[in-house]
Amino acid sequence: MALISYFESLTLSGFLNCFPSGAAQGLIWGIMALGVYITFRILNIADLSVDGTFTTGGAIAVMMIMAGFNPFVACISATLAGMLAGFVTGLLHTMFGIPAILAGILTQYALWSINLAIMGMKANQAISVDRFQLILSSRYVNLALGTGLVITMILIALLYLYFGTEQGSAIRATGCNAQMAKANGISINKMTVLGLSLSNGIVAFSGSLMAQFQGYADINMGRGSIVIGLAAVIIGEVLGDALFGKKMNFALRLTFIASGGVIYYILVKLVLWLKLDTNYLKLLTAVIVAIFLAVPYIQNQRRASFKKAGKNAQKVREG
Amino acid sequence: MAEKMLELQNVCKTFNPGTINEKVALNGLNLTLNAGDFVTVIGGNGAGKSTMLNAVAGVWPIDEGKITIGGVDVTGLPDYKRASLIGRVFQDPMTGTAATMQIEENLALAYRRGKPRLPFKTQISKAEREMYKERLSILDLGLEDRLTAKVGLLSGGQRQALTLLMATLQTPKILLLDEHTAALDPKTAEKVLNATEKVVSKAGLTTMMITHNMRDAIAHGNRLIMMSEGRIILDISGEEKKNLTVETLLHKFEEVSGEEFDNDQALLSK
Repeated sequence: MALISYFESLTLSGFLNCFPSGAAQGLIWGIMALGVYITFRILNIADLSVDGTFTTGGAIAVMMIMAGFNPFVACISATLAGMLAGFVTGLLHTMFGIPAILAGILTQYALWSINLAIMGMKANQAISVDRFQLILSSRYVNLALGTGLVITMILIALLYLYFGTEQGSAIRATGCNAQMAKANGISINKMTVLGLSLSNGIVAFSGSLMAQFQGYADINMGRGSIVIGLAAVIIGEVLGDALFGKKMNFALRLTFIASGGVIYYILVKLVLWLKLDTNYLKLLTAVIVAIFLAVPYIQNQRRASFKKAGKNAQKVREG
Repeated sequence: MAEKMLELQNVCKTFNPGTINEKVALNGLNLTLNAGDFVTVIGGNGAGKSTMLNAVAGVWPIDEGKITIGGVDVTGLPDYKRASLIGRVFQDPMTGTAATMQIEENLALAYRRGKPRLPFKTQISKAEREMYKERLSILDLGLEDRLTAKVGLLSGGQRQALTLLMATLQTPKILLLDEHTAALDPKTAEKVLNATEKVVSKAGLTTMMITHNMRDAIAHGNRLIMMSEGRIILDISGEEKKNLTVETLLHKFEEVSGEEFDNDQALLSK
């Protein structure tokens, strides 16, 4: 009986109703994932500062809008603050020789205090779309979806152009082969700092959008965002490779990564719709990311492993 | 009257000083290369050949002495700051190129060596692409038709030839070749060596080439130096270099060092 009433309570319209809001939130996470992509894939660094900078972006946007600033000015300020945080991580890593992961953790940890200070020592601050002009809001979901889409497309175009420039290519070379980069006169320290700044700027920007969309900034809004960002990057890449394979170019890749955020959030909404316990959402996300990160390694192992070699050796003995 | 292109004066380098692994790699090294010199460098394992090249390239700071390239004192400059003066090809074919980037993107990176990397300037113009095609066709590997292929798809020999081209795209004051054919099969190695000879003679490049192959060391270049224990123990040039054979070289080595040449690899390869 309980099962029947459970299924009866699931209505398709219920899922479809939360679809646009999920997609809009997903787009914002997709923008965040573009930032994560710059460090994780292009620079080949796992940067954990983003958990802090996402919140920083949200906090700055909310406080500035409340103080009467134009929401665009607030978003740009949030981006600049994120870039500054990335710059600090970059300096800790390149100038002081702290491993990148640890440098990111330190920045993230420090940002917790800074974010609280930005929010006037309160754990959250709300802005109502009725009182303030916002770029997007969950109150007007379809409009938010459209705005989010336009912003994402502009950002993808900008990133595509930037990584085709001399400087963008130098960042790519630094992440791909540092020795080659140095031999060609590229300062890998400078490029690493630049890439980290850029990445965290984008993450803070997406945080500023998220705060406006949900109508508040919260000290914990960025917690675990690195994992969601990675999930979006990986989902996007797997999907893109499956659909386009070798024809995948850089613009397409960025598009798929942004869509990865949307797909992830629709999955989240699906979990919510199924009325599964949301406490396990983080566990589920971690498992998905772990599986997708492990797949390429396992595929390699299947091609050549000691286990396989051992089996082959047995054939020789029996042979 | 010949212009001095490279000058090493009393260069010293000790690795892991004060530890049980202390190793004096360069021990008061002096060397002067004139413009257009093509020097082959031989010596046993641990003689300091690669260390000398790395010192010139600026991989780490030297302990003592002075290094001048094309009249510029580079002793205090890190590698990426002196890269505009130097072209490098490494032993490992994977080292000199960026695998996930296209052939033309790699060339464009090398073409901007020593220039600021501007954020608003797109990488490759049409004229540049034509120039890359022309340069690639010299290598005779068919790479000129594959400009947008990822470098990771190329063979070791192709990557090494591409690195050579990248190292000389902006004419360097000095070209450093660190056993750049050692990781290749004999046939490919010969191709890359021929390409090297072509590129070097066409631009009249001042070149240092480390090799473990005595025949190669004798066949190429106008000057040959042999290293041992962080110093140059033999320096042969001119007519003497032209008439050199493996036997006379071995004999000379025993004469200067008072010991038998211990590197079987150098004797036996080819």
